[in-house]
Amino acid sequence: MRPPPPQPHSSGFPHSSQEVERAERPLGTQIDAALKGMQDAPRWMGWRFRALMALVLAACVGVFALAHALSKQARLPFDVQATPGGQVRITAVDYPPLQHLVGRVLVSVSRPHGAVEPALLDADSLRRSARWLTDVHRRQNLLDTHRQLCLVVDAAMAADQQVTLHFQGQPDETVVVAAQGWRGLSPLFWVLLLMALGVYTIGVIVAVSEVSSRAYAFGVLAWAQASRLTMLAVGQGWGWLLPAWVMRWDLNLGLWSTVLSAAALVQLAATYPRPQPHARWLVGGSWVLSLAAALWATLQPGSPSWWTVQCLCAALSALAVWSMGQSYKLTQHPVTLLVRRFVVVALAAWAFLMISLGSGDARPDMQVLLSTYGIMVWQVYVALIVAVAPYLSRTRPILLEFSMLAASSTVAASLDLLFVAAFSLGQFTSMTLSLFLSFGVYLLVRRWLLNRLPGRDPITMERLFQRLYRIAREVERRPDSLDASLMRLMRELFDPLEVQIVPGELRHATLRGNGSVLLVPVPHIEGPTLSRRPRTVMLLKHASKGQRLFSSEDARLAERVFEQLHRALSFDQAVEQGRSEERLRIAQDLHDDIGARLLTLMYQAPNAEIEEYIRHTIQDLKTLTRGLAAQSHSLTEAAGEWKRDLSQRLSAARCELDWHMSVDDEVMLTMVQWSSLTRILRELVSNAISHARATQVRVSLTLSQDRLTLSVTDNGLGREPATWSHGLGLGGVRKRVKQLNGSVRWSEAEPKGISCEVVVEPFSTSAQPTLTQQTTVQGGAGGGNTHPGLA
Amino acid sequence: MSVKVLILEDNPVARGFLCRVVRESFSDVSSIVEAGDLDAARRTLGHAAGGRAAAGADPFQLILVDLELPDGSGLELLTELANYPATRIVTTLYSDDEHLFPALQCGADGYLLKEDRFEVLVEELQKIVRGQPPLSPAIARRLLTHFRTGDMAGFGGGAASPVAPTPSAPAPLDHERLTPRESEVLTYLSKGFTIKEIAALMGIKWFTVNDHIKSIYKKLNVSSRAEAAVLASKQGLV
Repeated sequence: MRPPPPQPHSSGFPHSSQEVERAERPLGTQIDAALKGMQDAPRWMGWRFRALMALVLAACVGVFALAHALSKQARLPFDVQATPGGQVRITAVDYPPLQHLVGRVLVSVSRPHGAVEPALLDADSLRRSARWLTDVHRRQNLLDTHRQLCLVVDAAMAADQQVTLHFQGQPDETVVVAAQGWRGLSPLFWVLLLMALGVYTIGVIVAVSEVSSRAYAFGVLAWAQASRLTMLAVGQGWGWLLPAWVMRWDLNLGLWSTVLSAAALVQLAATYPRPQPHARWLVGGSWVLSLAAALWATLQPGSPSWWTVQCLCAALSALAVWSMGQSYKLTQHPVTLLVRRFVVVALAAWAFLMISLGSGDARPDMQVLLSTYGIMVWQVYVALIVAVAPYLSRTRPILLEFSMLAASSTVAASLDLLFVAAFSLGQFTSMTLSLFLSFGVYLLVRRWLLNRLPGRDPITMERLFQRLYRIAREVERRPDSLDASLMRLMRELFDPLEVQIVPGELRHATLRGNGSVLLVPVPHIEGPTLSRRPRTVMLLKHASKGQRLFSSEDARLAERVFEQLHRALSFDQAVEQGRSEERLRIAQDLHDDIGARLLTLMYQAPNAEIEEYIRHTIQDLKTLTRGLAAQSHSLTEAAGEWKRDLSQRLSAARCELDWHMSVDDEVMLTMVQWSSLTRILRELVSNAISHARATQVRVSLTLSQDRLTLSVTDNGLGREPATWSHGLGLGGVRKRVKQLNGSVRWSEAEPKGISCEVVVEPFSTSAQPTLTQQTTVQGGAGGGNTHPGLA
Repeated sequence: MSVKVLILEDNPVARGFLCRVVRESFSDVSSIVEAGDLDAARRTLGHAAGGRAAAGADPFQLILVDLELPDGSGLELLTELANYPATRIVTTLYSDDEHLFPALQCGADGYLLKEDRFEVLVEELQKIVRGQPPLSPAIARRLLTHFRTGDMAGFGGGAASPVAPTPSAPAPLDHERLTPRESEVLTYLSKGFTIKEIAALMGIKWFTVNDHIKSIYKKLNVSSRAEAAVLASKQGLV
C-alpha cells in the first residue's frame, strides 16, 4: 500500500482511493499508516520533484517568452471604446499633441499612400475574442477586419511606421505606430499571466504527486483553466490589434478547454472521494460526448455547433453537481459539499452571462465590455476554485474570505450591469458605484456571516475551562474514565461523526484525508494506576456530522486542549503524591515515637488493667498509622486479619469465637471504612471480654446489595443496654459508626448477653464526608480520598 | 542443652522485658548478651558492617533482632547473619506485612510482636524455636503473591502494594514453588483461620499444618537468597 504524503502541504485533492478508504477504516491500521507516513522519507525526492521543477521552469520560461513577444507588438497611440451606436470612438491619447483626436469616431485605418486596403472598424472589432459571437457572419467579419488591420500595421511597421486614420466627419490624421515595449503591458496582463502560472503549477503538483487517472483529470482541468487565463492575458496584452490567427487559435483552444474541463469535472465528481456505482459509464460517456462535440465544432464551425458545445458543457457541469450530491449521500465528505456549492455558483453565473451575451444586441458597447471583462471575472473565479480545491482543509479563514469575496464580486458585477442597463449611468460611475456598494455589503455581511456559520465557536473558552476542570476531577476519582471523558469533550468541541481511540504514538495533532480525519495524541498520564497504559491516539472523523472539514486551527485547538488537560492531571497527581508522602511521614513518626513510648509505659504498667488499656491504645495507634500509610484494603483481606486478631484475643481470654462472613461483592474499603470497622470490632469485642465476661462471642459480617451488617453477640452479663452510660469505648463505637453514615443498636440477646448490630447502607459511598462532618472529623479519617470542596 | 541468647534492642525497658520472656521460655539459659545498637551487636558477633558473621567458639543459639534501631535497620544484621547457625527472630512494633515480609525474606525464622502479652510472647518464642513460626494473614497473602509471580519488587522492603502482581517478573524456579497443599494452607491463613481450624478444614493433623508452614518459610528463605544472588549478580555486586 502506498503511504500517504508526509507533509500536509503537499496533499493533493484527489487522493488515491486506497488512501481514502484507509482513512475510513476504523482500525489501528489507520494510525499505523499515518505513523509510517510520518517516518517515511519525503515523497518529493526523485523523479517527481525533477518533473515538477522541469515543468514549472518550462512554464516560467514560456511566460517570459510570451511577454517578450508581446512587448514587440505594435500599438496605436490611443485608446478606443465602443459607442452605444456600434462605432469606435477615441477616448484617450498617449501624447499631448494628439489631444485633438479625443472624441472622434474612427471609421477605418489605412496606410498613407493607400497601398493596402483600409480596415473598416465597428464595435465588434474591439472584441478580444471571437468566441462570444454566435453569428457566423459577424465572426467572419471580425476575423477579416483583424486580418486587414494586421496587414496595415505590419506594412507600416516595415516601412515608415505611419498609419492614416479616417474619421467620421473629421479630416484624416496620420499617426506613428510603434512597439509597445514592456511598459505597454498593463498590470492586468501580468496578474492574469501569473494567475495562469499558479493554476498550472497546482495542476502539475497534483498530477505529479500521484499517478492515477483522477490526478490526471485534475491536471487536465487545471491546465485548461490556465490556458484560458493565458489567452485572456494575451488578449489584454496585445490590445485590440490582435491578429486573426491568434483569434482563430483562441477560438479552438477555448472550445477544447471548455469541453475538456467539463469532462474532467464529471470524472472528478464521480470518483472522489470514492468511485460511484456507475462511475465508469458516466465518465466514459461524458468524455466520448465532449470529444465528439468538440471535433464537430472544430471541423464545422457554426452557430448550431457552438450552441451545442455550450449546452453540452452546461449539461455536463449539472451532471457533475448531481454526481457530487450522490457521492455525498454515500460518504459524507465535507469537501464534496463545498466544491458542489462552488460549482453551482459558477454554473449560475455562467448561465447569467450567456443570457446577457445572447440577448444584448441592442447595446454593442455593453456586449464588448461583457465579453471582455465579464468573462474575465468568471474565468478568474473558476480558476481560483480549481486552485484552492486541493487545499480546502488548510485554509479555512482564507476560504471564508475567498467565498465572501467571490460572492461580493458577483454582486458587484451584476450591480454594475444593472446600473448601466437600467439607469444608463456612465461606465465609470456605474462601476465605482457598484464597487462601493458591494464592498459595503461585503463588510456588513462578513461579521454577521462569520458568527452565524455553523460550528464556528460552539463552545466558548469559559465552558471549555469548566469541562476541563470537571474532567480532571472525575479522572482523579476514577482513573479509568479518562478515555470516555476525552471522547465526550471532543464530541462537544467538534461534533464529529465518529470518535475512536486507537493505540499508537503521535507527536502532534495531524489532519488526514484532506481534513476529513483528525488524529490527536491522547495525553499520557503517569501515575501508579495509569502508568501501564500504552500510548493512544484519538481519531475524529468528519466534523459537524460530516458537514465541515477539520482545519489546521482545529488540530491546534485539540492539541492545546489535551495539553491543558494533561497539565491539570499531572498537577493533581503531583499534589496527591505529595499528600500521600506527607501522610506516610506523619504515620511513621507517630508510630515510631509515640508507639515506642506507649510500649515502654506498657511494660511498666502497675497492674493488668492498665496494661490492657495501654495495649488497646497502642493497637488503636497502629490502626491509625496504618490507615494513614496505606491506600486501600479489600474487604475480604481486612476480614481475614480481623478474624485472626479476634481469635487470638478471644483464645487468650478463654473465649470462643464464632465467626460468620458472607460477602456478595468484592469491594475495596476506603481508609475511613477500614479504620472505623477495625476499631468498632476491637471495641465491641473488648467490651464483651472485659465487661460482660462472656465465654462465647459470635461475630457476623454480611455485605449484600451494598448493605453492610456487622453484629457482635456475646453471652455475658450485660443487660438493658438502653440504660447504659457509654464510656469512651462505646462512645467511640458510636462516633465511628456515624463516620460511616450508618446506625448502631444494642439489644438484649437470648437467653443472656448483649447483641450489637451495626448497619451501613449504602456501603460503597458511606465514607464520603459531608460538609458538616468535615469539621468534626478527626485523626486518621482525614486521609480520605475526596476533595474537601466536593460534597 | 544450654541456650546462649543475644538480644538486640535499643529500648532498655523493652530489653529487660525480652530478657524475662527468654528466661521464662527456656529452662536453661546459659547467658543473655544484650546489645543496644547495631555496632554493639557487631562487636559482640565479631564481624564488621557488611561482612558475614562467623560462628566462633561459643556461638549464640538464639538471636533477637529489633527492627527499629537508631543506627540502621535490623534487616542489615539479619543479612549479615545469613550463615550463622542460630535461630533468628525479629521483634517489632509493626505488625503489617510491609515491614515483616522483608524481614522474613532476609532470613528471619520468625517474628515477635512487642505489643503482645507476656504469656503470648513466651508461647510464640517457644513455637518458633520448635519450628512452628507464626504467619499473619497479611504475610500469608504476601507469600502467595511472592511464590506465584516471583515478587522481585518486594525484595528489600520496598513499599509496593502487595495486591497487584507484577507481570514482568520471571516465574520462580521449581524448588521455590509451593506445593498445592502449601498454597491451600496459605490461602486459609490469609483468610484468618487458625491452625486448628485449618487442620480441621483440610482433614490433616495439626502438626502437618505446621510442617507446611515451616517448609514455606524455608522456601522463602531459599528463594530470597537465590533472588538476592541473582539480583546481586545482575547488578554486578558479586
